[in-house]
Amino acid sequence: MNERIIKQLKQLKSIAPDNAFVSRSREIVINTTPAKRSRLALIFAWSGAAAMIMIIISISYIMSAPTMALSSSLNETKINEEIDSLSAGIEVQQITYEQKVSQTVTSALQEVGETKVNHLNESLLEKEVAGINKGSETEISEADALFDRAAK
Amino acid sequence: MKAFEEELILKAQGGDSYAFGLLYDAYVSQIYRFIFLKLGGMKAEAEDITHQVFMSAWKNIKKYQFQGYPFSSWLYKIARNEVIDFWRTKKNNVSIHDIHEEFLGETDENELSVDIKIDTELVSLCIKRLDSHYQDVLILKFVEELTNEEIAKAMGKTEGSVRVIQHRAIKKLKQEIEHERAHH
Repeated sequence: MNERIIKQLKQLKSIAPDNAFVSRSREIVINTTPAKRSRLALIFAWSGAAAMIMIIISISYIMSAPTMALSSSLNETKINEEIDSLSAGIEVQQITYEQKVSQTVTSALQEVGETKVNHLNESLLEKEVAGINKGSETEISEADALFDRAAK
Repeated sequence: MKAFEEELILKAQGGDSYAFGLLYDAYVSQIYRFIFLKLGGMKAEAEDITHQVFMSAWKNIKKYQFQGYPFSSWLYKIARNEVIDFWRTKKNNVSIHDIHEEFLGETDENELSVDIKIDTELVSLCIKRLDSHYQDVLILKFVEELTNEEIAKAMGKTEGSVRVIQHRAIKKLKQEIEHERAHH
């Protein structure tokens, strides 16, 4: 059986393509020269390379912009100017604050001097204490008289 | 590899289309046959794929390297990949009746008896049903009469595995033929 199958397989060698197909296909293949394709590929390659260079230049330009700002911020003269203006600003703020405090203290002392705080006056307090004691003694004597009358 | 063939390849690699034309003439029939059998007798598709194989070979001729094997090993490798791509994009089932008219191409029909023709068609149909590796080994070994070393090179396998595949492929083909005969 195997020999018969192998014999049948060998008979398949009689299969062949049409002559018309072969001549047509051959002509198309041969006329497609690798040189033409290489030229086209070369054009694509150069275009791609040019595009890449443009992209790299653009990126480097964009990257260089913040670098310039950074370098200017590290300039010694500019830093000194910035520090001077900063310390002057701080001093002005401090003077303004001290003036406000001084005004507040002065006005408070003036108020005290004009006796607008009577409840803290010593002589006035003594008078009030004396009045309170006097009132109490009168009330006690009146209470004693009432007790005596009730005992009788 | 024949010295003449090597010379043609070198010229083709240098852009000589006439040299590649001679290589085309030398191998077009066997590449077509290989594809035709793997497709189970689909003539138009076999022609398209054969054309693609030689177009691809011509475009990539500079990539070909001499390794002591026939140029056909490289062409078979391209053909195998093209057929795989074809089946990936097209699922098809060809009836034996569909291939009857076109099967033998321009072969002199007087050379073959009617019985042999029917047997040949049957074998071709059964080959199509086999696993791709089985097809390759059967066609390359028994139709194209390549050595196991050449088949191994074309398939990217060892000679040992080619022998194993060959044994299994014949066994499987025999089963397919018996099955087909039992149903007709």
